[in-house]
Amino acid sequence: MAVGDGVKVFTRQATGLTKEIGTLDTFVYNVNNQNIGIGVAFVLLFVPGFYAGADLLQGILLAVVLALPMALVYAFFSAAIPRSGGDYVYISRSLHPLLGFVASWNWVAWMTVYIGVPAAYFAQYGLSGLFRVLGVATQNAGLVDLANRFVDPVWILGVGTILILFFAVIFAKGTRTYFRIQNTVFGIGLFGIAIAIGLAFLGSSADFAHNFDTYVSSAGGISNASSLAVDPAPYDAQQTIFSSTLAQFIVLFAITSSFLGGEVRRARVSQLLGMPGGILFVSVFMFLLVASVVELVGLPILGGVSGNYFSPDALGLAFVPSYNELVAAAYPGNLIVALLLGFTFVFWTYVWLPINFIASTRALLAWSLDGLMPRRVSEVNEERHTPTVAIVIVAILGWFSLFMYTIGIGDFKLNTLYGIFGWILSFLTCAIAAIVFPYRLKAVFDSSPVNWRIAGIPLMSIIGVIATAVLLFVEYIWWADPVNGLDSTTAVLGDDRMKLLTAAVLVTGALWYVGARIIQARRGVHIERAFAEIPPE
Amino acid sequence: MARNQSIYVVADIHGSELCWRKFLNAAKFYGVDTIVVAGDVTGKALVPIVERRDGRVEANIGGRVQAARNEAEVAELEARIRFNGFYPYRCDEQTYNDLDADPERRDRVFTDVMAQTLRDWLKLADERLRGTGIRAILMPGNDDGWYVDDVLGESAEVMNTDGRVIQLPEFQVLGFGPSNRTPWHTQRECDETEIAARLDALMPQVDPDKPVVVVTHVPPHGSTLDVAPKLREDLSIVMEGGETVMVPVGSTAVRAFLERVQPVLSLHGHIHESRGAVHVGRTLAINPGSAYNTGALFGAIVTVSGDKIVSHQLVSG
Repeated sequence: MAVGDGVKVFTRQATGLTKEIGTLDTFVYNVNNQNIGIGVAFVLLFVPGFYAGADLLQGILLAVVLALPMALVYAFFSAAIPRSGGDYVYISRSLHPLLGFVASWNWVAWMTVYIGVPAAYFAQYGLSGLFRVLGVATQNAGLVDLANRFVDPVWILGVGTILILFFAVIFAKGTRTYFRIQNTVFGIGLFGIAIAIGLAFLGSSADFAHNFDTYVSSAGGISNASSLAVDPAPYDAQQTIFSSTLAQFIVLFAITSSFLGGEVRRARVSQLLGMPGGILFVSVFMFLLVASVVELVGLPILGGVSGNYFSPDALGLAFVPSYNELVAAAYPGNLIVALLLGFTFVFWTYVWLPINFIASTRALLAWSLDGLMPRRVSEVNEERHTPTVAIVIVAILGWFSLFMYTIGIGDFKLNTLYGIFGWILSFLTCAIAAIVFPYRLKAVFDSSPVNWRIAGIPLMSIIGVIATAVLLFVEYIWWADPVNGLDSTTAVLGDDRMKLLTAAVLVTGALWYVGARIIQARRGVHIERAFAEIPPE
Repeated sequence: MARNQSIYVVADIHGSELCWRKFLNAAKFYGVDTIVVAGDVTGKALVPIVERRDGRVEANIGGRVQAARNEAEVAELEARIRFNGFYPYRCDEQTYNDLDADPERRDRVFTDVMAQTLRDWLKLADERLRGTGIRAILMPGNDDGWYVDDVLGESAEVMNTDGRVIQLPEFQVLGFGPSNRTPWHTQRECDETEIAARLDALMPQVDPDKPVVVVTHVPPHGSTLDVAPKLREDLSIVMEGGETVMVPVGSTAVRAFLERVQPVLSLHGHIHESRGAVHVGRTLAINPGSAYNTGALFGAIVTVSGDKIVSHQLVSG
């Protein structure tokens, strides 16, 4: 067997020397985690009405630029420490086990939030839109009524609960069923995006106002919905920057292939391009879909729809239409278009639920193996070979976040995007880890295939510095954005509960680590030994 | 009351000199009495460092051809190759071409390099462990050629437990290195029926009044310590939904043996990505996993008191 050009490596018949995972699989692994449908829906639902003067397409481009350095950090780590368990290990080994655990704890805390939230999206954005678009196309008032129920918090909670239970049962039986269908489901979703782009470009923008009025009135709304159109504000750079949060929400998470890697460490093109490539691929679709819908609907009507997101009764509706309904509105009475757009969009709404469910379960298993969680958490069902206890814990946490998103406690509810500021802190820690990795684990770096240096400085450290600076800017956006920023929650909620929650996640992570260390020490197990490097000499 | 005994186990260090050096220091570092390698000590790749006719020196590291301009840089290349668990091999261009063209000669050279490296390792072990009271056990695994037994026999401090039962004062270690069949047709592998027969044949050596620690390189089937990527015939990995499809590949004979004999502890390796600790009946079964190619030594510390497990911990040294 030969590796590389010019000079070969001679390998022998030995266990584990498999063919490398290909570019396509690396790419799919990353793209599957990025939600094009919800991304576009949110850009169109929120930017025109809440970010006066923002350029939608520039916002997407900015999100891509801001996501790339972090994707490179994870790509470099995956070449240097492959198959290692991701940033939990990168940070633990490069900085400190406590920081690694807190970063991982932070990940899981917000991942479980984004188990409950997409469970809610399934009814709130998926089924509601599907049944209304079908109801309008078939002139069936019953379907429209049913659609309206799917935005009722109790119905969202009920449907979301069923969905979480469904995936918990699927995963308790093994993950293969899910992964078997995931490619197909992703293909259906992507097909829907392509169809939407085509239909939006081909639809008549001249007739759209009329068609939109017809659609809204057929759905039980006012007869002149297009009159709610608002003239776009002049271009505003700051609002454009803030509006990038909606696209960042999607493209920041193209790093999952860092968990893939072979035994022979290589600077695989598939890995180094797979993560940034995944971002670019998703961005192209988002870009085209947003551009085509803007072309079809026009910014004034989009502004009217978006601006009334929280007051849909202005249109006489229970909820404002997402892009799939807007595109379908351009084809009045066309059941096939309605079905294609509504049905395929449903597959985007819940996509984060299973992905975050599996990732959270795996994190719990890793912590348990390291002694940071009770051993029962990593116990595996003998018959099905699945971690039942971990699955139940994640399902409960996910359901609780669904409850906090839909019903809440008192006047406190979890807003969709308020958690992202906290989540990015884990990325930031990983970027800092990349700066010090070539120095603190010099032998690992020097023997890695990404040991490139520029003027004697490790390229990985340079990328780490760039990613750190960029992520600090990203955090500024997620702090200061008046719509989705953490700082805005003080005004919206009337107090600092969301900020305290964000800080509490980090503090509880640190306390958990210290507590687990004390408890395990009493049993004669010293957690610090789990991570301490044995001196070789 | 039985005295606590601590055992440290690693597996699949595959030629990583750094991991071997860490292993030899592990007893002192963790304060354990017995250290065990549960199979697969030899590496998988020979990396020629080729001196070209024009004086250039080149080697392929991490899929990239890298050059050295002087002896210090060649030594640096060698260190990097060793770090990854591979064997550096200096040669001129003619020798390299001969090796490339002649698989048999290449195998001979590869075997010689692996044997000599292991000999050097054992010499280091003898130096470091002599007089310490630390018990070191090394069992060859399916990737280790038969010559490894002869080399191991030269060591004064390191015991080979493959196909035998080692009697220690507090417990006994029953070892079996070969695996069930693999897609790579490695040197120590056999059918499940043969594994079952050979394990049973070891039982007469077992003292029924003393706790047994079983060390088999291959983990028990369906234990979750044996989950590996599913492969096609061309050794490519099966992916579904962008995710690697994982399947159990452990030994059914080993599982049946553990279920019947119920030793206090069983130690395994073989499947690097299946690090974990589970119970097979009353037996605590452990696969410490392996990340030898990153210089991290995955291991497990187990404290045993008589026929009871006091504690166990997976560690990354």
